[in-house]
Amino acid sequence: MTRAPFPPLARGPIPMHIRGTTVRTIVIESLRVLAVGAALGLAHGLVRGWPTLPAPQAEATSCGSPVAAEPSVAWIRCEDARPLADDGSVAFVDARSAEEFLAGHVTRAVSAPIEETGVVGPSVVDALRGARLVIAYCDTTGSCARSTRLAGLLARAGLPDVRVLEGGMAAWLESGFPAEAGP
Amino acid sequence: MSRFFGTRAGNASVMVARAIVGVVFLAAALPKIADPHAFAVAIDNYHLVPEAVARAAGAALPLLELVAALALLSGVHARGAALVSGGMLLVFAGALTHALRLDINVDCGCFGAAARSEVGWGSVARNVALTALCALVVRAPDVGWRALVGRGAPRRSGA
Repeated sequence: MTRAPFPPLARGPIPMHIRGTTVRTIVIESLRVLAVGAALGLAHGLVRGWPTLPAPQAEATSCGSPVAAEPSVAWIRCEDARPLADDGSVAFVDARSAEEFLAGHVTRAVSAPIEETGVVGPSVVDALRGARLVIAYCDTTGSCARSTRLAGLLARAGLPDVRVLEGGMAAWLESGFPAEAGP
Repeated sequence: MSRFFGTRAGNASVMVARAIVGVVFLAAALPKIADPHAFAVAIDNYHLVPEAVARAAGAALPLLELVAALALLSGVHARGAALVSGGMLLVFAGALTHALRLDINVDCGCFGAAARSEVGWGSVARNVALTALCALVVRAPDVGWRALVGRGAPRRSGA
């Protein structure tokens, strides 16, 4: 009795299957979906124009016209913040760069250049620790991004009440509220 | 589990998963296509990508969501679309988690300007649940709507 020879081994990698379809097929399908979506997105951008983001200070016209803030962000209006600048228990914190801070900032404000460091240093948190209210500000954009981010970090660090100044530094200066230059 | 797929109940579960993810993606894509500027601002508010990327994603992502939704609902390249959708959902969940960790109370941007809602763990849980549905679609056999009627054999997808 002769033994039947073994069937020849398949050459090349053995395709992986998931329920009747090779993984390669699924990946190819996903690439096709990605390609069609990207092509339509490109066409959409070219035909209708690419989305624009609010330019810095574009909306900083006055205290009366606040930035397009997200409704959930805890903001404080410029005119409401003005009397608090004389209150020793209220601290202002500047989220802009060190150079911008030196050029001019809200009187008694603390510098916390969030864009440069990416974090809030312990010295800044310690300087603000005793304040009953901390007001963060930057230059105004559609979301006042830097000050919003800084406010979130400070709140996370345990400061009890942190808010973001509507209109930022530009609106503050435009309203003639007290500011100073230097460190 | 393998016997489950191919049965009427198994086919139905796959179709329902596809329908849920497809409808959610369709509902998310249309308002964003109508107002890509608001969506680009929402992306920018997360502070995760440069401005240029936020602008490009504001225009392209809604169309990708639309294509994925149509593929899932029609059954054409449904498993590939589920893979893409799951990837997008994981990226979105990562962005939401990042915002929550930093306590950045921004608009979720999940459904464009049509339904503004702030980021929250509920949004993350929704994305994870939808990702699980996508994984189910990827793992299940490729079935058509007719599979709901009877026990028919799974459709072979060619490539």
